[in-house]
Amino acid sequence: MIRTLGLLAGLSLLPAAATAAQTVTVSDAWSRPALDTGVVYLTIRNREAVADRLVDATSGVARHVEFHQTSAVRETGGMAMGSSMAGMPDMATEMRRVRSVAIPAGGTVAFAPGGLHAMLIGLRRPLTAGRSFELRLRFAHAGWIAARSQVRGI
Amino acid sequence: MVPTSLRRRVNARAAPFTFRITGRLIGALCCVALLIAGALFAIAQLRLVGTAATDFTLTDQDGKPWTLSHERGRHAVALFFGYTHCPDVCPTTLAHLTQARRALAAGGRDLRIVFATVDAARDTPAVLKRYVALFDPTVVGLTGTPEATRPVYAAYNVWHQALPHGDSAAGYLVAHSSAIYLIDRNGRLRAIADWSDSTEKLATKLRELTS
Repeated sequence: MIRTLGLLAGLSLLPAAATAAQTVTVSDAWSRPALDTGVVYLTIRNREAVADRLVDATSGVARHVEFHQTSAVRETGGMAMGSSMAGMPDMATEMRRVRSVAIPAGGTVAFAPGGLHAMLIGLRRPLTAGRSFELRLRFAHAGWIAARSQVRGI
Repeated sequence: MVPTSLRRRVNARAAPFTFRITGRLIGALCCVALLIAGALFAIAQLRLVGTAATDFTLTDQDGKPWTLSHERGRHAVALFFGYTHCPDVCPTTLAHLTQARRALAAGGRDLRIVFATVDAARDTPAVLKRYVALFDPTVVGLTGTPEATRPVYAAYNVWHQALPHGDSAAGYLVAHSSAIYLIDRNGRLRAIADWSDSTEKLATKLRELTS
């Protein structure tokens, strides 16, 4: 973990982020193969006593990076349902853009399949299994933190 | 005697309260309507199970016609609907299905994974070919004209809706059905799985389908 922190601090381009990176960490970043629109899942840990907020992200592999939330929709005849019913599979899904993500003090936020994810829009070239790339995340307090995302084969 | 200004303030407070009650009532009624709608949709889906899967022909990633009934006696089929610009649900479904298939006997040779687009405007055969190859080139990617796709969506209760995404650089996103239709070698729809099923759960369902 110390090594990860050191790596994150080293990768951060802004000098101010080096100190902040010790209390907010981004780990386990991974992606799926993608053609034009990709995804990054990751885990954010905030060891600070104050809440932080993820406000922006960039990556050299895509024109835009946004945060999106997938949620289940139950739909028929033009009506959509946001709530889920026990024991029934999700029948449909939709995504909504999330402008920023609150990272509670002392908390962990996981970006995972079917939930929050970073969306890579306009990939400059396809993400193929085995490749890795850098993603930079900007936090309101901690500043910029870099992470490497691994494209997982299936 | 209550000053007019105060009375006005009291009334101003009372009015939103009434609105709030009405709003809650409407909200509750909407929830009930949606619950019924959701239940009807689930029943419609479940009624498909056990029936012969509706046959159809669409265009595959090589630009050739692909017909479901041609798989009869040759392969079981795991059919689902999505689009290549979908970052989360569709690649997860593809990844889980291809992983689960590998756990089957003979590497899942008896099973065809079929990905039919709900976004034919962007998903041409050439795009689909490049997309499925990122996961597994044996996956069949299907597209077609609106005339060709519409009856397929209807037969499989596929709901999809392009969402104008004004605040996103993604252009538009497509909300869509996430069911996986499991069709056996005899062309019968045996079960409906879901994209959120784990690889293990899917593997069990695929094993039952191909056994």
